[in-house]
Amino acid sequence: MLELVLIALVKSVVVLVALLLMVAYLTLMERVVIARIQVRVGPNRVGPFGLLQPIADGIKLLLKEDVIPAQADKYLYVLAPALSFGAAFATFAVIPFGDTVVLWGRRISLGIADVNVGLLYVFAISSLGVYGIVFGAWASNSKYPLLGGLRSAAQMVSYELCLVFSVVGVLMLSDSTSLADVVAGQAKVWYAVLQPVGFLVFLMASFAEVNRLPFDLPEAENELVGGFHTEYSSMKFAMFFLGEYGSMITTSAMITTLYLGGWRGPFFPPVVWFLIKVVAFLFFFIWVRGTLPRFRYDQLMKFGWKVLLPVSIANILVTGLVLAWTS
Amino acid sequence: MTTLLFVLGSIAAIVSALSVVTRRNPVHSALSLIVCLLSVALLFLLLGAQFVAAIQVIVYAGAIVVLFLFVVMLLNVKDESAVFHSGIAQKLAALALVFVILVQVVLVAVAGATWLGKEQWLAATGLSFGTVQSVGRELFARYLFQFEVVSVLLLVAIVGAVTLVKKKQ
Amino acid sequence: MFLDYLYAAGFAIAGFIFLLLALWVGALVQPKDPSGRKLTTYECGEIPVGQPWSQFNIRFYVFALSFVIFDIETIFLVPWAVVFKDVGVVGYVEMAVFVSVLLLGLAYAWRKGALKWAL
Repeated sequence: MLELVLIALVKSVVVLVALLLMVAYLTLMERVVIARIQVRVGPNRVGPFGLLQPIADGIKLLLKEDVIPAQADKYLYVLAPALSFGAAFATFAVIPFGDTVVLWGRRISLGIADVNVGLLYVFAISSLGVYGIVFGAWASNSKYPLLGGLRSAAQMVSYELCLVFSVVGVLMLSDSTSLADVVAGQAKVWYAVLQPVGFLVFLMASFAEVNRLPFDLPEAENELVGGFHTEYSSMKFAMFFLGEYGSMITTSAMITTLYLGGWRGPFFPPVVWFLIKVVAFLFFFIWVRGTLPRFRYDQLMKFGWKVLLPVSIANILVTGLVLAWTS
Repeated sequence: MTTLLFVLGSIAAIVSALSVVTRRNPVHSALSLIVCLLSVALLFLLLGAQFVAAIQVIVYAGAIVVLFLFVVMLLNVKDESAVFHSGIAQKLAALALVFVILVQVVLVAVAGATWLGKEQWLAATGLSFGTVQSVGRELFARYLFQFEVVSVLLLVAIVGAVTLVKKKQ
Repeated sequence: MFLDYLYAAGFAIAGFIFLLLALWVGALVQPKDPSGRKLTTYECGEIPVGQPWSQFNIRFYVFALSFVIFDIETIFLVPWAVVFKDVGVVGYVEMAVFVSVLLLGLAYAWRKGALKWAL
């Protein structure tokens, strides 16, 4: 009993710290990559190659005064960033990042929990993540956050539909919503190969789900200042920031798990493969940001409801037809 | 452990449900409603109904409360007293409704304990109970007709939603 | 099965502790002087004008409503997809009917212009 608790505790802390470190260095990676794309140098002053930059940023955020606007709704104002952060990180609890390993004679599965409804758990958590933004926007009681928050909520719920519909194709192949089973089902061939349309829809919808360019209308800085987190400062702002970049990482991990065979791969240990795939997707996220301009809001909604949604539903019907035919 | 979680979950559900109706601020009410729905999801989970618990969070806590919040934000409701005037008749009707539901709940509980006997109640019988797979099998084996009727119901809901916002010619 | 949920909850609690820790450490070292213009809401450096609330597009409501309906549809699709290979062709036809009825709904909403984001 004690052993189980200890193992779970160590796993949780290690994963949490690893995620936080990844978020920190994701910001650095983003700044460097964007700088290269725009033929700039990027951060290179703090430490060798600017490697200490994220730590300096963190300390600076920590030392800033935490202002709560007089008009704000205090409880919700504090609760919102916590929700946003929590939703981004809690998703990782069901993602398997490696095979079982034997350490000191004990079999330890690399993954915090393997629940039967794993995929539904992910969607449940991400549907709660919307509240971080809505409450943050409402509690600020200010113009830009309200506009940004409302936009963001509508965008996130619309694209969440596309996410779920596109994943149904994967579920038909894996016969299970448990993410460990989904990875096990890709022993021979990746689902990205069997489900190319679903994969593309999922990829595009995830950009909207994490509010990244080209779908970053909620925080379109040249029209809305910063969107829902305009009124936030110091650690609370940092929480929103961690939540946003954390959800980028969890989304990449989800794409990897669902479509790219998860931790499977030759030669290297499973965890390394998992990290390679996740970082590749993070790079892709940044690359797209450096390349594409922002959509207009009506274009965004049109794209979600009139292109992605019908396409993903058609994908389900076609997949079903093929599976019924071949079996 | 399970009993402790059950007690905690029930208390959280009741307290947050009370807070939904007592809060002046509609957004606070919505927050309490989310807490209430999450506690109910926990109770489902303790019963072994994992799938229902997940749905409880996705559909109720995730989708429907978002809809409520949209309405609150669209109308800019700051304080309920400014918008809703509940008359004495409304209050009486609400009380009567609560009473009827309470009687129903007690009746079901008593019936379960005494009249019907244990075998009438579907309980968590095995490990597979409440998983997505078992729900799917039941849905397509025993409840096919109901399942198809649901699609018509949803269609009606879409038509209703469209009609609500259509401009009058 | 239940144990796994406890692990997931444990992970969430670990995250929560980190959160509290970060806010607490922040509160220890930060300057604290809530005064003056700092406390007004941000409006590009100007003194805020009028109400924070402005009139929002009713379309937000339509999309939220449609979202709820389609969300319920996904809930029916998930258990079907998982047992799809067991229920076979009959299950496929049943689901095809179900999805078609909803596609009809989507087409109706589309045709009536409910999905159009126009002012």
